[in-house]
Amino acid sequence: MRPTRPLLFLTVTAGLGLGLLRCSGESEPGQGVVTTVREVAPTEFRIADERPVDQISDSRVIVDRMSGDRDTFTLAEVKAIEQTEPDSSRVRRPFHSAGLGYWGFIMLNRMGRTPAASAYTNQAAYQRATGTAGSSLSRTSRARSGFGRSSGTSTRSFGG
Amino acid sequence: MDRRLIDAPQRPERYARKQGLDYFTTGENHDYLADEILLLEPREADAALAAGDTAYSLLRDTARRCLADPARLARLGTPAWCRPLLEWSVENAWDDFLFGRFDLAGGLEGLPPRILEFNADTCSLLAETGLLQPEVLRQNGVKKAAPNNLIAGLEARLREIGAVRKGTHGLFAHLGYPEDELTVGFLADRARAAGWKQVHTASLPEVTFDPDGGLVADPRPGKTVRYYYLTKFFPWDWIAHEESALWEMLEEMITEQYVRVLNPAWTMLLQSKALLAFAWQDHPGHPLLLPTAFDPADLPDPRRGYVRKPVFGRNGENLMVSLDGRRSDAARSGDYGEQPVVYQELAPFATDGGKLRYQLSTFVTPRASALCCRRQDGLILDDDAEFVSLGIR
Repeated sequence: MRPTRPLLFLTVTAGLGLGLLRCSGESEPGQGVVTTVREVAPTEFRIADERPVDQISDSRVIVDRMSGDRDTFTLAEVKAIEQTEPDSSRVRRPFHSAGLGYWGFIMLNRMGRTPAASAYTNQAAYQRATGTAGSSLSRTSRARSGFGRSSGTSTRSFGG
Repeated sequence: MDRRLIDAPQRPERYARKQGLDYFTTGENHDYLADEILLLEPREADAALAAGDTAYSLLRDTARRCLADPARLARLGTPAWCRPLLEWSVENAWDDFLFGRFDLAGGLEGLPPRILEFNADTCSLLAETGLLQPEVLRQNGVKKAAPNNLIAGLEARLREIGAVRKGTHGLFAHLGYPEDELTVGFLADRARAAGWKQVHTASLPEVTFDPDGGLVADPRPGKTVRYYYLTKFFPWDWIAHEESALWEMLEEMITEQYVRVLNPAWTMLLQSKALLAFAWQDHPGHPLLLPTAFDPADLPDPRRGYVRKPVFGRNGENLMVSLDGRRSDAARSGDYGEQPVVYQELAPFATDGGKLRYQLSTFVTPRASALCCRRQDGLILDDDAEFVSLGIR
Protein backbone atom coordinates (compact mmCIF):
# COMPACT_ATOMS: atom_id res chain seq x y z
CA MET A 1 0.00 0.00 0.00
CA ARG A 2 1.13 3.51 -0.74
CA PRO A 3 2.14 5.16 2.54
CA THR A 4 0.17 8.33 2.02
CA ARG A 5 0.01 10.54 5.08
CA PRO A 6 -0.63 7.80 7.59
CA LEU A 7 -0.81 10.18 10.52
CA LEU A 8 -3.43 12.30 8.89
CA PHE A 9 -5.57 9.27 8.25
CA LEU A 10 -5.54 8.27 11.88
CA THR A 11 -6.58 11.62 13.20
CA VAL A 12 -9.24 12.42 10.68
CA THR A 13 -10.81 9.01 10.53
CA ALA A 14 -11.27 8.63 14.24
CA GLY A 15 -13.73 11.47 14.27
CA LEU A 16 -15.37 11.30 10.89
CA GLY A 17 -15.14 7.71 9.77
CA LEU A 18 -18.12 6.16 11.37
CA GLY A 19 -19.81 9.38 12.41
CA LEU A 20 -21.28 9.96 9.00
CA LEU A 21 -22.64 6.47 8.91
CA ARG A 22 -24.02 6.59 12.38
CA CYS A 23 -26.15 9.65 11.87
CA SER A 24 -27.97 7.98 9.05
CA GLY A 25 -30.60 6.50 11.31
CA GLU A 26 -32.81 3.75 10.04
CA SER A 27 -31.33 3.70 6.56
CA GLU A 28 -27.85 2.69 7.73
CA PRO A 29 -26.62 -0.09 5.49
CA GLY A 30 -25.97 -3.41 7.10
CA GLN A 31 -23.28 -4.53 4.71
CA GLY A 32 -19.89 -3.32 3.62
CA VAL A 33 -18.39 -3.56 0.15
CA VAL A 34 -15.01 -4.11 -1.47
CA THR A 35 -14.85 -1.94 -4.57
CA THR A 36 -12.21 -2.27 -7.25
CA VAL A 37 -11.56 0.95 -9.12
CA ARG A 38 -9.59 0.60 -12.31
CA GLU A 39 -7.63 3.16 -14.30
CA VAL A 40 -9.06 2.76 -17.79
CA ALA A 41 -7.20 5.66 -19.37
CA PRO A 42 -4.47 7.76 -17.80
CA THR A 43 -6.00 9.27 -14.62
CA GLU A 44 -9.50 8.13 -15.56
CA PHE A 45 -11.00 5.61 -13.18
CA ARG A 46 -14.05 3.36 -13.34
CA ILE A 47 -15.53 0.78 -11.06
CA ALA A 48 -14.61 -2.69 -12.18
CA ASP A 49 -16.02 -4.74 -9.35
CA GLU A 50 -18.05 -4.50 -6.18
CA ARG A 51 -18.21 -7.37 -3.77
CA PRO A 52 -20.32 -7.22 -0.61
CA VAL A 53 -18.73 -8.12 2.71
CA ASP A 54 -20.46 -8.71 6.03
CA GLN A 55 -19.03 -5.90 8.10
CA ILE A 56 -18.99 -2.26 7.07
CA SER A 57 -15.58 -2.01 8.69
CA ASP A 58 -14.26 -4.63 6.25
CA SER A 59 -15.04 -2.31 3.34
CA ARG A 60 -12.14 -1.49 1.06
CA VAL A 61 -11.42 0.40 -2.11
CA ILE A 62 -8.82 -1.27 -4.27
CA VAL A 63 -7.26 1.08 -6.81
CA ASP A 64 -5.87 -0.74 -9.79
CA ARG A 65 -3.56 1.53 -11.75
CA MET A 66 -2.47 1.10 -15.36
CA SER A 67 1.10 0.80 -14.18
CA GLY A 68 0.07 -2.47 -12.57
CA ASP A 69 0.31 -0.94 -9.08
CA ARG A 70 -2.52 -1.82 -6.75
CA ASP A 71 -3.36 0.14 -3.60
CA THR A 72 -5.93 -0.80 -0.99
CA PHE A 73 -7.72 1.79 1.10
CA THR A 74 -9.93 1.29 4.12
CA LEU A 75 -13.16 3.12 4.68
CA ALA A 76 -11.38 5.48 7.01
CA GLU A 77 -8.59 6.22 4.60
CA VAL A 78 -10.94 7.04 1.75
CA LYS A 79 -12.85 9.39 3.99
CA ALA A 80 -9.65 11.09 5.03
CA ILE A 81 -8.65 11.55 1.43
CA GLU A 82 -12.07 12.90 0.49
CA GLN A 83 -11.87 15.37 3.35
CA THR A 84 -8.29 16.52 3.08
CA GLU A 85 -7.18 16.27 -0.52
CA PRO A 86 -8.16 18.86 -3.11
CA ASP A 87 -10.38 17.68 -5.98
CA SER A 88 -7.48 17.77 -8.40
CA SER A 89 -5.13 15.69 -6.27
CA ARG A 90 -3.71 12.54 -7.77
CA VAL A 91 -4.53 10.56 -4.65
CA ARG A 92 -8.15 11.59 -4.67
CA ARG A 93 -8.78 11.18 -8.36
CA PRO A 94 -9.64 7.46 -8.38
CA PHE A 95 -12.48 8.01 -5.93
CA HIS A 96 -13.62 11.23 -7.51
CA SER A 97 -13.50 9.96 -11.07
CA ALA A 98 -15.30 6.70 -10.50
CA GLY A 99 -18.08 8.23 -8.43
CA LEU A 100 -17.58 5.20 -6.29
CA GLY A 101 -20.92 3.57 -7.07
CA TYR A 102 -22.21 1.39 -4.31
CA TRP A 103 -19.34 2.49 -2.11
CA GLY A 104 -20.52 6.04 -2.32
CA PHE A 105 -23.97 4.76 -1.56
CA ILE A 106 -22.73 3.28 1.67
CA MET A 107 -20.48 6.17 2.51
CA LEU A 108 -22.99 8.88 1.89
CA ASN A 109 -25.96 6.75 2.69
CA ARG A 110 -27.96 7.62 -0.34
CA MET A 111 -30.48 4.88 0.11
CA GLY A 112 -32.58 4.11 -2.89
CA ARG A 113 -30.12 5.67 -5.32
CA THR A 114 -28.38 3.38 -7.76
CA PRO A 115 -24.98 4.33 -9.08
CA ALA A 116 -24.62 5.63 -12.62
CA ALA A 117 -23.78 3.09 -15.29
CA SER A 118 -21.04 5.40 -16.56
CA ALA A 119 -19.13 4.93 -13.33
CA TYR A 120 -18.43 1.32 -14.23
CA THR A 121 -15.89 -0.17 -16.57
CA ASN A 122 -18.58 -2.17 -18.30
CA GLN A 123 -22.21 -3.14 -18.36
CA ALA A 124 -21.61 -6.43 -16.61
CA ALA A 125 -20.00 -4.79 -13.59
CA TYR A 126 -22.85 -2.30 -13.45
CA GLN A 127 -25.46 -5.03 -13.56
CA ARG A 128 -23.67 -6.96 -10.87
CA ALA A 129 -23.63 -3.85 -8.73
CA THR A 130 -27.26 -2.99 -9.22
CA GLY A 131 -28.54 -6.55 -9.25
CA THR A 132 -27.25 -9.37 -7.15
CA ALA A 133 -23.75 -8.31 -6.22
CA GLY A 134 -21.41 -10.82 -7.76
CA SER A 135 -18.21 -12.57 -6.96
CA SER A 136 -14.63 -11.79 -7.91
CA LEU A 137 -14.08 -9.87 -11.12
CA SER A 138 -10.57 -10.68 -12.14
CA ARG A 139 -12.03 -11.78 -15.49
CA THR A 140 -15.18 -10.20 -16.88
CA SER A 141 -17.83 -11.76 -19.09
CA ARG A 142 -16.08 -10.72 -22.29
CA ALA A 143 -12.75 -12.19 -21.24
CA ARG A 144 -11.31 -14.84 -23.56
CA SER A 145 -8.32 -17.09 -23.51
CA GLY A 146 -7.18 -20.07 -25.54
CA PHE A 147 -6.20 -18.10 -28.65
CA GLY A 148 -3.88 -20.09 -30.88
CA ARG A 149 -4.77 -23.38 -29.26
CA SER A 150 -6.65 -24.79 -32.22
CA SER A 151 -4.12 -23.94 -34.89
CA GLY A 152 -1.64 -26.65 -33.92
CA THR A 153 1.04 -24.04 -33.97
CA SER A 154 3.57 -25.56 -31.62
CA THR A 155 5.04 -27.55 -34.50
CA ARG A 156 6.49 -24.51 -36.24
CA SER A 157 8.43 -21.41 -35.45
CA PHE A 158 6.95 -17.98 -35.92
CA GLY A 159 10.32 -16.33 -35.94
CA GLY A 160 11.62 -14.73 -39.10
CA MET B 1 36.38 -15.64 -48.61
CA ASP B 2 38.11 -18.73 -47.28
CA ARG B 3 41.08 -16.79 -45.92
CA ARG B 4 38.74 -14.91 -43.60
CA LEU B 5 37.28 -18.07 -42.10
CA ILE B 6 39.02 -19.41 -39.04
CA ASP B 7 38.44 -22.76 -37.38
CA ALA B 8 36.21 -22.83 -34.34
CA PRO B 9 36.65 -26.34 -32.97
CA GLN B 10 35.54 -25.33 -29.44
CA ARG B 11 31.76 -25.57 -29.14
CA PRO B 12 29.82 -23.78 -26.44
CA GLU B 13 27.79 -26.81 -25.41
CA ARG B 14 28.36 -26.53 -21.67
CA TYR B 15 27.64 -22.85 -21.69
CA ALA B 16 24.49 -23.43 -23.73
CA ARG B 17 23.29 -26.06 -21.28
CA LYS B 18 23.89 -23.72 -18.36
CA GLN B 19 21.92 -21.00 -20.11
CA GLY B 20 19.09 -23.38 -21.00
CA LEU B 21 19.96 -22.96 -24.68
CA ASP B 22 21.02 -26.53 -25.50
CA TYR B 23 18.20 -26.57 -28.04
CA PHE B 24 20.64 -24.70 -30.30
CA THR B 25 23.55 -27.11 -29.80
CA THR B 26 22.05 -30.60 -29.47
CA GLY B 27 19.78 -33.09 -31.27
CA GLU B 28 18.70 -31.94 -34.72
CA ASN B 29 20.59 -28.70 -34.17
CA HIS B 30 23.92 -30.23 -33.11
CA ASP B 31 25.56 -28.72 -36.20
CA TYR B 32 23.60 -25.44 -36.21
CA LEU B 33 26.54 -23.46 -34.86
CA ALA B 34 29.17 -23.47 -37.61
CA ASP B 35 32.63 -24.86 -36.85
CA GLU B 36 34.15 -21.74 -38.39
CA ILE B 37 34.17 -18.06 -37.49
CA LEU B 38 33.96 -15.34 -40.12
CA LEU B 39 36.16 -12.29 -39.70
CA LEU B 40 34.63 -9.09 -41.03
CA GLU B 41 36.59 -6.09 -42.22
CA PRO B 42 35.82 -3.09 -39.98
CA ARG B 43 34.39 -1.21 -42.98
CA GLU B 44 32.07 -4.12 -43.79
CA ALA B 45 30.76 -4.08 -40.22
CA ASP B 46 30.25 -0.31 -40.36
CA ALA B 47 28.44 -0.57 -43.67
CA ALA B 48 26.11 -3.32 -42.42
CA LEU B 49 25.21 -1.28 -39.33
CA ALA B 50 24.67 1.84 -41.41
CA ALA B 51 22.46 -0.17 -43.78
CA GLY B 52 20.25 -1.09 -40.82
CA ASP B 53 19.85 2.51 -39.68
CA THR B 54 19.17 3.84 -43.17
CA ALA B 55 16.77 1.06 -44.14
CA TYR B 56 14.81 1.35 -40.88
CA SER B 57 14.12 4.99 -41.51
CA LEU B 58 13.44 4.49 -45.22
CA LEU B 59 10.99 1.60 -44.74
CA ARG B 60 9.11 3.35 -41.94
CA ASP B 61 8.71 6.31 -44.23
CA THR B 62 7.25 4.07 -46.95
CA ALA B 63 5.03 2.30 -44.40
CA ARG B 64 3.39 5.62 -43.45
CA ARG B 65 2.78 6.41 -47.09
CA CYS B 66 1.19 2.99 -47.62
CA LEU B 67 -1.13 3.48 -44.68
CA ALA B 68 -2.44 6.69 -46.23
CA ASP B 69 -3.22 4.89 -49.50
CA PRO B 70 -5.89 2.13 -49.40
CA ALA B 71 -4.72 0.68 -52.73
CA ARG B 72 -1.20 0.26 -51.40
CA LEU B 73 -2.48 -1.10 -48.10
CA ALA B 74 -4.43 -3.84 -49.87
CA ARG B 75 -1.36 -4.89 -51.84
CA LEU B 76 0.62 -5.28 -48.63
CA GLY B 77 -1.67 -8.22 -47.85
CA THR B 78 -3.29 -6.28 -45.01
CA PRO B 79 -7.08 -6.72 -44.70
CA ALA B 80 -8.95 -3.40 -44.90
CA TRP B 81 -10.42 -3.88 -41.43
CA CYS B 82 -6.91 -3.81 -39.97
CA ARG B 83 -6.57 -0.16 -40.88
CA PRO B 84 -8.04 1.48 -37.74
CA LEU B 85 -5.60 -0.24 -35.40
CA LEU B 86 -2.71 0.30 -37.80
CA GLU B 87 -3.50 4.01 -37.95
CA TRP B 88 -3.88 4.24 -34.19
CA SER B 89 -0.60 2.40 -33.83
CA VAL B 90 1.27 4.77 -36.14
CA GLU B 91 -0.18 7.77 -34.31
CA ASN B 92 0.26 6.50 -30.76
CA ALA B 93 2.85 3.72 -30.73
CA TRP B 94 5.29 4.87 -33.40
CA ASP B 95 8.12 4.91 -30.83
CA ASP B 96 7.28 1.63 -29.10
CA PHE B 97 9.44 -0.45 -31.43
CA LEU B 98 11.67 -2.91 -29.57
CA PHE B 99 13.54 -5.13 -32.01
CA GLY B 100 13.90 -6.21 -35.62
CA ARG B 101 16.42 -7.72 -38.00
CA PHE B 102 17.38 -6.87 -41.55
CA ASP B 103 18.63 -9.70 -43.73
CA LEU B 104 21.22 -8.56 -46.23
CA ALA B 105 22.64 -9.85 -49.47
CA GLY B 106 26.26 -8.96 -50.17
CA GLY B 107 28.04 -6.79 -47.64
CA LEU B 108 31.16 -8.96 -47.96
CA GLU B 109 34.04 -9.24 -50.39
CA GLY B 110 33.34 -5.88 -51.98
CA LEU B 111 29.70 -6.67 -52.71
CA PRO B 112 27.44 -3.83 -51.55
CA PRO B 113 24.92 -4.65 -48.80
CA ARG B 114 21.34 -4.86 -50.13
CA ILE B 115 18.17 -5.32 -48.10
CA LEU B 116 16.58 -8.73 -48.71
CA GLU B 117 13.88 -8.23 -46.12
CA PHE B 118 13.07 -6.83 -42.72
CA ASN B 119 11.91 -9.13 -39.93
CA ALA B 120 10.00 -6.34 -38.27
CA ASP B 121 7.61 -8.17 -36.01
CA THR B 122 8.94 -11.44 -34.54
CA CYS B 123 12.59 -11.75 -35.47
CA SER B 124 14.63 -14.74 -34.36
CA LEU B 125 18.39 -15.32 -33.86
CA LEU B 126 18.38 -13.27 -30.65
CA ALA B 127 19.78 -15.78 -28.15
CA GLU B 128 22.33 -17.05 -30.67
CA THR B 129 23.59 -13.55 -31.35
CA GLY B 130 23.33 -12.15 -27.84
CA LEU B 131 24.64 -15.10 -25.85
CA LEU B 132 26.14 -17.91 -27.94
CA GLN B 133 28.12 -15.83 -30.43
CA PRO B 134 30.26 -14.08 -27.77
CA GLU B 135 30.89 -17.46 -26.13
CA VAL B 136 31.99 -19.06 -29.42
CA LEU B 137 34.43 -16.19 -29.95
CA ARG B 138 35.72 -16.42 -26.37
CA GLN B 139 36.24 -20.18 -26.43
CA ASN B 140 38.05 -20.03 -29.74
CA GLY B 141 40.32 -17.18 -28.72
CA VAL B 142 38.93 -14.50 -31.05
CA LYS B 143 39.60 -11.27 -29.20
CA LYS B 144 37.82 -8.80 -31.44
CA ALA B 145 34.10 -9.34 -31.86
CA ALA B 146 32.04 -7.85 -34.65
CA PRO B 147 29.61 -5.17 -33.39
CA ASN B 148 27.27 -6.89 -30.95
CA ASN B 149 25.37 -4.66 -28.57
CA LEU B 150 22.17 -6.65 -28.88
CA ILE B 151 21.74 -7.27 -25.16
CA ALA B 152 22.70 -3.75 -24.16
CA GLY B 153 20.51 -2.31 -26.92
CA LEU B 154 17.45 -4.31 -25.92
CA GLU B 155 17.92 -3.56 -22.24
CA ALA B 156 18.36 0.15 -22.88
CA ARG B 157 15.20 0.14 -24.97
CA LEU B 158 13.24 -1.79 -22.33
CA ARG B 159 14.53 0.56 -19.64
CA GLU B 160 13.27 3.53 -21.68
CA ILE B 161 9.89 1.90 -22.14
CA GLY B 162 9.72 0.94 -18.47
CA ALA B 163 10.71 4.42 -17.32
CA VAL B 164 7.45 5.80 -18.67
CA ARG B 165 5.58 3.81 -16.00
CA LYS B 166 6.74 2.97 -12.55
CA GLY B 167 6.76 -0.75 -11.85
CA THR B 168 6.33 -2.08 -15.36
CA HIS B 169 4.42 -5.34 -15.71
CA GLY B 170 5.27 -7.32 -18.83
CA LEU B 171 3.85 -10.50 -20.23
CA PHE B 172 5.99 -12.32 -22.81
CA ALA B 173 3.97 -14.73 -24.93
CA HIS B 174 4.72 -17.37 -27.56
CA LEU B 175 2.83 -20.09 -29.38
CA GLY B 176 4.66 -23.04 -27.90
CA TYR B 177 7.40 -23.83 -30.42
CA PRO B 178 10.57 -24.55 -28.40
CA GLU B 179 12.78 -22.10 -30.28
CA ASP B 180 10.21 -19.32 -29.96
CA GLU B 181 9.87 -20.06 -26.28
CA LEU B 182 13.62 -19.58 -25.87
CA THR B 183 13.52 -16.33 -27.80
CA VAL B 184 10.72 -15.07 -25.59
CA GLY B 185 12.62 -16.20 -22.50
CA PHE B 186 15.67 -14.27 -23.74
CA LEU B 187 13.56 -11.12 -24.14
CA ALA B 188 11.95 -11.59 -20.71
CA ASP B 189 15.43 -11.83 -19.16
CA ARG B 190 16.32 -8.53 -20.79
CA ALA B 191 13.22 -6.93 -19.26
CA ARG B 192 14.17 -8.25 -15.82
CA ALA B 193 17.66 -6.85 -16.26
CA ALA B 194 16.08 -3.56 -17.28
CA GLY B 195 14.26 -3.42 -13.95
CA TRP B 196 10.76 -4.40 -14.99
CA LYS B 197 8.89 -5.32 -11.85
CA GLN B 198 6.68 -8.21 -12.93
CA VAL B 199 7.85 -10.31 -15.85
CA HIS B 200 6.10 -13.50 -16.85
CA THR B 201 6.39 -15.77 -19.89
CA ALA B 202 3.39 -17.77 -21.06
CA SER B 203 2.05 -19.55 -24.09
CA LEU B 204 -0.66 -17.59 -25.86
CA PRO B 205 -3.54 -19.97 -25.04
CA GLU B 206 -2.89 -19.42 -21.30
CA VAL B 207 -3.30 -15.66 -21.63
CA THR B 208 -6.65 -14.01 -20.93
CA PHE B 209 -7.61 -11.04 -23.06
CA ASP B 210 -10.33 -9.08 -21.35
CA PRO B 211 -11.54 -5.92 -23.06
CA ASP B 212 -13.10 -4.88 -19.76
CA GLY B 213 -10.35 -5.97 -17.44
CA GLY B 214 -7.09 -5.93 -19.37
CA LEU B 215 -4.45 -8.51 -20.13
CA VAL B 216 -4.40 -11.15 -17.42
CA ALA B 217 -2.38 -14.27 -16.68
CA ASP B 218 -1.65 -16.46 -13.69
CA PRO B 219 2.11 -16.57 -13.04
CA ARG B 220 1.39 -19.30 -10.51
CA PRO B 221 -1.78 -21.12 -9.49
CA GLY B 222 -4.10 -18.88 -7.54
CA LYS B 223 -2.22 -15.69 -8.38
CA THR B 224 -3.69 -13.52 -11.10
CA VAL B 225 -1.75 -10.55 -12.44
CA ARG B 226 -2.72 -7.89 -14.91
CA TYR B 227 -0.03 -6.88 -17.39
CA TYR B 228 0.25 -3.63 -19.25
CA TYR B 229 2.91 -4.66 -21.77
CA LEU B 230 2.53 -7.66 -24.06
CA THR B 231 5.70 -8.72 -25.87
CA LYS B 232 4.47 -11.28 -28.33
CA PHE B 233 6.18 -13.82 -30.49
CA PHE B 234 3.21 -14.48 -32.72
CA PRO B 235 3.09 -12.21 -35.75
CA TRP B 236 0.51 -9.51 -36.40
CA ASP B 237 -0.09 -11.02 -39.83
CA TRP B 238 -0.91 -14.35 -38.16
CA ILE B 239 -3.36 -12.59 -35.82
CA ALA B 240 -5.01 -10.82 -38.76
CA HIS B 241 -5.32 -13.92 -40.91
CA GLU B 242 -5.72 -16.76 -38.40
CA GLU B 243 -7.16 -15.25 -35.21
CA SER B 244 -9.17 -12.23 -36.27
CA ALA B 245 -11.17 -12.37 -33.01
CA LEU B 246 -7.90 -11.74 -31.17
CA TRP B 247 -7.17 -8.78 -33.47
CA GLU B 248 -10.55 -7.26 -32.61
CA MET B 249 -9.95 -7.78 -28.93
CA LEU B 250 -6.44 -6.31 -29.08
CA GLU B 251 -7.71 -3.38 -31.13
CA GLU B 252 -10.18 -2.51 -28.40
CA MET B 253 -7.73 -3.08 -25.56
CA ILE B 254 -4.89 -1.17 -27.22
CA THR B 255 -6.95 1.84 -28.23
CA GLU B 256 -8.57 1.91 -24.76
CA GLN B 257 -5.01 1.97 -23.32
CA TYR B 258 -5.45 -1.29 -21.46
CA VAL B 259 -2.38 -2.82 -23.03
CA ARG B 260 0.63 -1.87 -25.14
CA VAL B 261 2.07 -4.45 -27.49
CA LEU B 262 5.71 -4.89 -28.50
CA ASN B 263 6.33 -4.77 -31.36
CA PRO B 264 3.38 -2.48 -32.16
CA ALA B 265 0.77 -3.26 -34.80
CA TRP B 266 2.35 -0.96 -37.41
CA THR B 267 5.28 -3.37 -37.71
CA MET B 268 2.93 -5.58 -39.73
CA LEU B 269 3.34 -3.04 -42.55
CA LEU B 270 7.11 -3.50 -42.51
CA GLN B 271 6.85 -7.24 -42.15
CA SER B 272 5.10 -7.42 -45.52
CA LYS B 273 7.62 -7.98 -48.28
CA ALA B 274 5.31 -6.02 -50.55
CA LEU B 275 6.55 -2.94 -48.71
CA LEU B 276 9.89 -3.46 -50.48
CA ALA B 277 8.14 -2.97 -53.82
CA PHE B 278 6.69 0.34 -52.63
CA ALA B 279 10.02 1.34 -51.11
CA TRP B 280 11.57 0.78 -54.55
CA GLN B 281 8.79 2.91 -56.14
CA ASP B 282 9.41 5.67 -53.57
CA HIS B 283 13.20 5.47 -53.86
CA PRO B 284 14.01 4.03 -57.28
CA GLY B 285 17.66 3.10 -57.60
CA HIS B 286 18.43 3.45 -53.89
CA PRO B 287 21.74 1.62 -53.35
CA LEU B 288 20.43 -0.39 -50.38
CA LEU B 289 17.30 -1.61 -52.15
CA LEU B 290 16.86 -4.39 -54.66
CA PRO B 291 14.43 -3.77 -57.51
CA THR B 292 11.17 -5.31 -56.33
CA ALA B 293 7.81 -5.47 -58.12
CA PHE B 294 4.46 -7.21 -58.13
CA ASP B 295 5.05 -8.50 -61.65
CA PRO B 296 8.42 -9.70 -62.95
CA ALA B 297 7.79 -7.66 -66.11
CA ASP B 298 8.04 -4.52 -63.97
CA LEU B 299 11.58 -5.33 -62.87
CA PRO B 300 14.27 -3.31 -64.70
CA ASP B 301 15.56 -6.49 -66.32
CA PRO B 302 13.81 -9.75 -65.36
CA ARG B 303 16.49 -11.72 -67.24
CA ARG B 304 18.91 -10.87 -64.44
CA GLY B 305 16.85 -13.34 -62.39
CA TYR B 306 14.56 -12.88 -59.42
CA VAL B 307 13.20 -14.42 -56.26
CA ARG B 308 9.43 -14.81 -55.88
CA LYS B 309 8.39 -14.33 -52.25
CA PRO B 310 5.02 -14.59 -50.49
CA VAL B 311 4.41 -11.27 -48.72
CA PHE B 312 4.22 -12.80 -45.23
CA GLY B 313 6.37 -15.88 -45.87
CA ARG B 314 8.94 -17.16 -43.35
CA ASN B 315 11.92 -19.51 -43.21
CA GLY B 316 12.32 -19.60 -46.99
CA GLU B 317 8.96 -21.33 -47.41
CA ASN B 318 7.23 -20.99 -50.81
CA LEU B 319 10.21 -19.14 -52.28
CA MET B 320 10.98 -19.63 -55.95
CA VAL B 321 14.27 -18.58 -57.51
CA SER B 322 14.75 -17.98 -61.20
CA LEU B 323 18.27 -17.31 -62.40
CA ASP B 324 17.30 -16.10 -65.86
CA GLY B 325 13.72 -14.87 -65.40
CA ARG B 326 12.29 -17.78 -67.37
CA ARG B 327 12.60 -21.09 -65.57
CA SER B 328 12.43 -22.04 -61.90
CA ASP B 329 15.87 -22.99 -60.57
CA ALA B 330 14.95 -23.60 -56.96
CA ALA B 331 11.70 -23.69 -55.03
CA ARG B 332 10.45 -24.59 -51.58
CA SER B 333 7.02 -25.77 -50.55
CA GLY B 334 5.37 -24.41 -47.43
CA ASP B 335 2.38 -22.89 -45.73
CA TYR B 336 2.36 -19.53 -47.49
CA GLY B 337 1.44 -20.60 -51.04
CA GLU B 338 -1.92 -18.82 -50.98
CA GLN B 339 -0.44 -15.40 -50.29
CA PRO B 340 0.19 -12.59 -52.77
CA VAL B 341 3.80 -12.49 -53.94
CA VAL B 342 6.49 -9.99 -54.89
CA TYR B 343 9.41 -10.43 -57.25
CA GLN B 344 12.81 -9.27 -56.03
CA GLU B 345 15.80 -9.01 -58.33
CA LEU B 346 18.43 -11.62 -57.62
CA ALA B 347 21.29 -10.23 -55.54
CA PRO B 348 24.88 -11.46 -55.47
CA PHE B 349 26.01 -13.21 -52.28
CA ALA B 350 29.53 -13.88 -51.08
CA THR B 351 30.32 -17.60 -51.26
CA ASP B 352 33.20 -19.68 -49.99
CA GLY B 353 35.17 -22.40 -51.78
CA GLY B 354 32.65 -24.98 -50.64
CA LYS B 355 29.96 -22.86 -52.32
CA LEU B 356 28.21 -21.91 -49.10
CA ARG B 357 26.35 -18.58 -49.41
CA TYR B 358 26.79 -16.05 -46.57
CA GLN B 359 23.91 -13.88 -45.42
CA LEU B 360 24.60 -11.07 -42.97
CA SER B 361 21.89 -9.65 -40.73
CA THR B 362 21.67 -6.37 -38.83
CA PHE B 363 19.62 -6.04 -35.65
CA VAL B 364 17.90 -2.74 -34.95
CA THR B 365 16.72 -1.94 -31.41
CA PRO B 366 15.73 0.43 -33.06
CA ARG B 367 19.25 1.83 -33.66
CA ALA B 368 21.45 -0.69 -35.46
CA SER B 369 23.07 -2.58 -32.60
CA ALA B 370 24.39 -5.97 -33.67
CA LEU B 371 25.39 -8.17 -36.61
CA CYS B 372 25.05 -11.87 -37.19
CA CYS B 373 25.53 -14.23 -40.10
CA ARG B 374 24.14 -17.50 -41.49
CA ARG B 375 25.34 -19.64 -44.35
CA GLN B 376 23.91 -22.45 -46.45
CA ASP B 377 24.50 -24.10 -49.79
CA GLY B 378 21.92 -23.71 -52.53
CA LEU B 379 19.89 -20.69 -53.57
CA ILE B 380 17.46 -20.55 -50.64
CA LEU B 381 18.29 -19.97 -47.01
CA ASP B 382 15.98 -21.83 -44.64
CA ASP B 383 15.92 -23.75 -41.35
CA ASP B 384 18.99 -25.74 -42.36
CA ALA B 385 21.28 -22.71 -42.39
CA GLU B 386 24.32 -22.65 -40.10
CA PHE B 387 24.92 -19.80 -37.68
CA VAL B 388 28.38 -18.34 -38.24
CA SER B 389 29.80 -16.27 -35.40
CA LEU B 390 31.42 -13.00 -36.43
CA GLY B 391 34.77 -11.65 -35.39
CA ILE B 392 36.51 -8.64 -36.80
CA ARG B 393 39.83 -8.38 -38.49
